[in-house]
Amino acid sequence: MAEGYKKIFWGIVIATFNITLGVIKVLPTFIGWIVVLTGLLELEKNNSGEAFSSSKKATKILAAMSFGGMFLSFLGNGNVESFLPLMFYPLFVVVIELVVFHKILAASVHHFSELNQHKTASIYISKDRMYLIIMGISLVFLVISLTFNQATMGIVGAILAILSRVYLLTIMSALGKEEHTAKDNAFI
Amino acid sequence: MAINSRIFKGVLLLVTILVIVGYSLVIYFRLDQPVFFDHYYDKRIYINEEQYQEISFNLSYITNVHDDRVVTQITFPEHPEVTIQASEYAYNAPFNWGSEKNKTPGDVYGRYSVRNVICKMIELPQKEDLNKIVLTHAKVLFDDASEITVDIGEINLYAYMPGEIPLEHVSTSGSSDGTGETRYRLLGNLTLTAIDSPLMANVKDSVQWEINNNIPNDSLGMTFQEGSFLDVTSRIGSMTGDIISEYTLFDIHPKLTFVDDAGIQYTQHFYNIDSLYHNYSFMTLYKYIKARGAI
Repeated sequence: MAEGYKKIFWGIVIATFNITLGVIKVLPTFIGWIVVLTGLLELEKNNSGEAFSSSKKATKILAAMSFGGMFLSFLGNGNVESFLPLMFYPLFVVVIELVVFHKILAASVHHFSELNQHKTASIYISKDRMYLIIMGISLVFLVISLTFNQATMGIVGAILAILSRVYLLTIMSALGKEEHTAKDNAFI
Repeated sequence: MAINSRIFKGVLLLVTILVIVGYSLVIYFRLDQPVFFDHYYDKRIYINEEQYQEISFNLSYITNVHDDRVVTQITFPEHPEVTIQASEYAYNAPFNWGSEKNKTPGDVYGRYSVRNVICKMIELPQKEDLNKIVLTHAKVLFDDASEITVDIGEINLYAYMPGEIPLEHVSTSGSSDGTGETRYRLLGNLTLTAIDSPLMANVKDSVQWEINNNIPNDSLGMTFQEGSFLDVTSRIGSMTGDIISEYTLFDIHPKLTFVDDAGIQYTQHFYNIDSLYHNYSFMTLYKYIKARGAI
């Protein structure tokens, strides 16, 4: 289990801070999402059922979108927003990201509950809530900024989105360190 | 987890609603074609002047923020003999290799961009018809070969011949709050016989001007004594608060005609009636476009 969360952690790191050498992106965003996907496959191995299937689907979409986004930025001269149907493209990426991580956290909480680790489960419930709230506010700022081409709101939205990613990193790193075996004496 | 699930669904629902509203607003705010401001300019052209004179004026327009077309040529269907060089780039280098070229000019305000076309006259019309030239429509050509014909307001050319007049210029002052004053000393008795300013009617909501503290038309027929002062004051600023008059661009040169005791006629123009610098914002531009009926 811990291995899976570690992979997800590094996947987010790559997706957030793309490594660029000169003009070539050594590790583009979609590679990051693929690493997240391998992490999810790892988690699934240790987990019976389809708990992580929706996150897996969403991560695949996310990887495809970032891959497509790379070509879009070549075509549109870096100005995707000028083409009306793609105006909210950056936002859709953030929404799918929200789906991926909320679903991962929900599955992890479910997993801890099954292991009778109710205390740990409740910690991650509140972390998930915090993540949802930061991302929700960030999304609202981003939609308004894209609609009115308002730079200040866009900056606030982007800062909140980065903050939520950093928060997510701390959550994933903590999840990697948790005990993932059954405990009989864990009660709230 | 039930609460989180509700927050999650709530966020998705809210974002979906905001995106739908956002798309509708973006489509609503979109301009079908650029909107040119109204321009009322008197353009002075020296005649009997061998020297080079640069006659230029600016035409401004509002367009969509991501409209990356640039005006390359402007012609006047009513007066094809008036040839101008039009450019949106302030420093028009013949070969623009720099990265500046990739950047579309203009000031961005939300979903709109205000652009400025610098028009320089390169061929002047024949001297004799100069005063008859009134430009109201322009055919604008963009760099993607699209073309539109727009109403630009009114640009009047007039021939100007520097001549003797028994008025001695004392002072001229202007302030950014829109007030200006020009003072002359009379070197002979002069009677004001005519005030010509065909463009003044178009900007009457934004311009107040006075001759010796009188409304100009009340001063008609008045005789100014030798040694006294002639004060022409102007106050610029929208009095009605109407957005169209507020955003009208003008530079008007009213012409005063005087007759002296010997019956000799003199003319004098005033140059202090010039529109103020505008502070645009997305909402005021929207109001302007709506008032113009463009959306």
